[in-house]
Amino acid sequence: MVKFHDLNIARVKDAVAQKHTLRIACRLGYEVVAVTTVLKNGNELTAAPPPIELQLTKEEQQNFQQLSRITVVLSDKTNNSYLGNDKIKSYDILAVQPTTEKSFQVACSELNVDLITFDFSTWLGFHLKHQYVQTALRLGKYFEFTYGPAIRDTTCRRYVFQNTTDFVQRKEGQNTIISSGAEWPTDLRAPYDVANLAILFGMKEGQAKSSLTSTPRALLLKAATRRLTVKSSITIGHVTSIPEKDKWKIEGSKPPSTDAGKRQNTDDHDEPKKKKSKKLKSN
Amino acid sequence: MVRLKNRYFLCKVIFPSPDESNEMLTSQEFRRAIEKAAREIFGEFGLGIVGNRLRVIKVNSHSKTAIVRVQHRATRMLSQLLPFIKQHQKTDVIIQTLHVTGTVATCQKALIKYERRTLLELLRNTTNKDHRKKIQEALLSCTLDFQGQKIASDNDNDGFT
Repeated sequence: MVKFHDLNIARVKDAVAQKHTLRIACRLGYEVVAVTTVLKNGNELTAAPPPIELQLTKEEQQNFQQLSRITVVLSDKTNNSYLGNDKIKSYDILAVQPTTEKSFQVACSELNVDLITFDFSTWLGFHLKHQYVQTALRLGKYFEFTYGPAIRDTTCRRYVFQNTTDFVQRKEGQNTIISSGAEWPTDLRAPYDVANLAILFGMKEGQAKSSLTSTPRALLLKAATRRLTVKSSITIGHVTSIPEKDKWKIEGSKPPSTDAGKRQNTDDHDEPKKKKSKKLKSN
Repeated sequence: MVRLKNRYFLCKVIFPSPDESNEMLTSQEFRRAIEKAAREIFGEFGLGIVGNRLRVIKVNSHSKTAIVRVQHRATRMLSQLLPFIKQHQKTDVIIQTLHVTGTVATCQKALIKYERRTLLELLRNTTNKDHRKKIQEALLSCTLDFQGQKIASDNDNDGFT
C-alpha cells in the first residue's frame, strides 16, 4: 500500500501544539512523519528527541511512524566536520540547508547527507548549478522543498512559486520530495492536495505523487544506510537487538522453512529417525 | 447540442484548532472562501473561470463535508486552489478533497460511502457508552433488514442545509 510521507514537521517548543500538529497529520492520511530540529550556528547540538506519544486508534498506531530529523543550516563559514557526530547519528534523517553557492557545492559533493533543503520563501541568493545538481544525483542525494511558506504567507508566495518552478525545470522532479514545514496544524494539507500543489509548482502528475510516496521512502532507506551501515554493506548490531525471525542466524540452527505457517525449529529434526522394525515372521 | 460538463468536488473541511471544532459550516461562507483563494492565486482570470458555474451544492455542518460544483474547465484550477484556503469565516481550516466526480449522484454516493466508513470507525474507537449507543442508533436508522424494510425510524434532521 502507498504510504504518504511528510518529512518536515517543524519542532515547536509548545508540546501541546506539536502533539496537535502530529494528530492532524495522522488524520489527513500521512503515515510517515518526521519532526525537524533546525541547527543554526548559534544553537547547541542535542541528541534526537524521543517520539511524542499521541492518543491514536489501534489502526493508526500500527501505521503511523514518527521519525526525527535534523536540518543543519550551512553558510560559507561553517565547519562541517561535526556531521559524523554521534548526536547527529541519533536522528533518523540528516538534512542540510545551503545558503550560499559554496555551501551548496559542498553539500552536493562532499558532505554525507541524505537531503538538501532550500528555503524558497525568499530570493535564494545563489543559482542551482546544473553541475552540482548532477553530482548530488549521482551520489544518491535527495532534494526537498516545503509548501508551508506558500500557504502561510501571501508575500512569500510569489517567491515560492518563482523558486519552485525554476527548481523543477532544472531538476525535472528527480529525487525530489515535498513536505510541509508545518509549525501549526493549519499549515498541513492532505496528500492529494499537496500533489495538486506540486503540479502547480511545475511537476508532472506522476512525479508529484511519487514525491510524497516512493521518493521519500527511498530517502529513508538511504538514511538508514548512512546511519547503520559501513559503506552500505555491513551493519553491526548488538545480539539483543536482532528481531525474533532473524535469530536463527546466530544460533546456528537451520533457517525457518518458507512454508505457510512458520514452523519452529523443534528437536524432532535432531532425533534419529525411528527405523521401522520388521518383525520377523516367527515360524 | 453542446454538452455542458461540470465537475463535483467532495470536500472535507477540517478545523484544526481544538476549540473551534463546533464551528458551523455554511455554503455562502465556503463559496466566499473559494472565490477569495481563486482571486489570490489565479487573479481575476481565475476568479472568472472558477466562478462560472460555481455552486456550493450541499454542506453538511455536522460531518463537515461539502459538495462544490465547477465547470469542467476549472477542475484543475479548483483542485489547485483548495489547499490555499486558509480561513472560513475567520476560523482556520484545512480543506481536503475526497473525490472529484462528473455527476452529483456519484458525488453523493461517494459522500455516503465516506460517512458510513467514518461512522464505523467511530463505532470501533469510542470508549464512551453513551456515544457508542448514539452511533449505533445512527447506523440503525439508515440500515435495512433482509426484506429491505427500515429497521428504525429516521426522524433526525441529518444536518443538510
